[in-house]
Amino acid sequence: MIPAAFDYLRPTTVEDAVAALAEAGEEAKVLAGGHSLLPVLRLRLAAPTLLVDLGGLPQLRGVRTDGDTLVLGAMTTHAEVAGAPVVVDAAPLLAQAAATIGDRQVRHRGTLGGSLAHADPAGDLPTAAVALDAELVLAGPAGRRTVPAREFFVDYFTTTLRPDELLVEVRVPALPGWGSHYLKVNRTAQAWATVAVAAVVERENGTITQARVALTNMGPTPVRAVAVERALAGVPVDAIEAAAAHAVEGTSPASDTTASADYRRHLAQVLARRALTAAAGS
Amino acid sequence: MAEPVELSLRVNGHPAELRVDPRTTLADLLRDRLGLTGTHLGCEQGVCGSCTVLIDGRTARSCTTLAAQAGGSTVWTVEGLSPPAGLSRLQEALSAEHGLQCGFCTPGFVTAATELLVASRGGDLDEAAVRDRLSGNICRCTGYQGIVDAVLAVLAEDVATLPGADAVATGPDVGELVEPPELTPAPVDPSGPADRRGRASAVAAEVLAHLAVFVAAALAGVAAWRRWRR
Repeated sequence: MIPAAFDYLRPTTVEDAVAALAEAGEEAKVLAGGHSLLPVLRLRLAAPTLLVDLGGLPQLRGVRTDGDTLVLGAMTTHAEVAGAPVVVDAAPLLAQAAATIGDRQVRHRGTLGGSLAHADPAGDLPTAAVALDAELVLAGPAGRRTVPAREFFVDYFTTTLRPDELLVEVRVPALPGWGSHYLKVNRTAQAWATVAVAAVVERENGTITQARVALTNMGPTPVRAVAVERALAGVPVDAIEAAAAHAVEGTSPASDTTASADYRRHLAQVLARRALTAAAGS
Repeated sequence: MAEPVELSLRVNGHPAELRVDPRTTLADLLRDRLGLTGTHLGCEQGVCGSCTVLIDGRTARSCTTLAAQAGGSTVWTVEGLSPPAGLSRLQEALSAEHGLQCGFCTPGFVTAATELLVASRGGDLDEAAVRDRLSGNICRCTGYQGIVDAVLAVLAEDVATLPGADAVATGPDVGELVEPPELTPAPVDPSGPADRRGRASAVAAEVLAHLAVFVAAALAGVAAWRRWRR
């Protein structure tokens, strides 16, 4: 239960952090809140030789608006994402998803960037980012590049981040007038999602003009339910029930000790219907 | 052993300067180096909440926080949330309402409940809200009712007089993100956006290799899978 030995670095600039990662290569791990990494280190499932702690980078923590875009620093905690009035106003789905994570102790330490870079398919914020078409800003030795959330997640716990890159910012385009809802089923208060659904809906005069739906834990990465989205373009609100039945298309849920793949497929349809109904009504 | 880390932090109002092995958790620092054994270690994997302390005024798990991460921070433990002699009003209520039996989880509950009570000062919390806010702490004796009753009993009282009440952060906590001074565009990635040479997060390769072991362990009732997920 004691981690293998590692060196510890707490850089004060993004450039220093990136340089340390570039030098250490695959042997280094990035430490944000630590609530996913520390248990893994304690079980010795990972044994990095260097931890680069981003806790000394307050410049990565906070929220601002940039025109029509909400910009969140990667080290902003779940509690801050859930509670910041500017997030609740501009991206209520993100705030709502953050509020469902773990418990208060976890939300005080866990970070937006940590959750995205960790890329757990049962994570809530990756799904919200994919549903909102967020863009992720990655800093590397050569500068910064921006990756759409939909292209960031590659596989189980795997992203397009290179070993010498840091996720520094999350940019969420505002969707004025859209309704949204994040709905999750989990077994106990702190548990990860068995399945969850993020729904974002634009409505005009009782008609859904467009919708975006993303699923948590229905495959190795967050899944956009494109068949549902297609079925919801320019249709009345009462088309939601039929559209939600398409939520299983393109998914590959796992069976584990929490739920079978069949049960997850069932949940995806039910939660899609409920989340879309709530989003269309809000 | 790796290069030691020089640490400077405040614990229960007192400054502490220490050199630690980087892999030392905050819980081990508090218990083994500072003798503050009121902070208990149950699961040691961030699930049970027995190790809950206040870091910069907010509850956190000291078993999944490195001591080094708390450098420069203010930490309060259950010792600092108790009067020098006797019991706090919250501790009395826990006793009166049968909010503990073996008592192992109680320090974590006292810490979480102190934050709950002080941060909601003047607020109107019902039983469901109290249960939600204490959901990061596990008790295997009481069935929680006595703990919830104790917190509800103290809720109506002047919680500002609770020991350590000043240590709890109550204000808004989100800073304004400063725009980076200069954004250097990265060169265009020749391999395209969906770069499959991506980075596995801390666990990927290692954990996937251990998947079968985990499932077997979980089936055996150890629930290792769930604990790893935490």
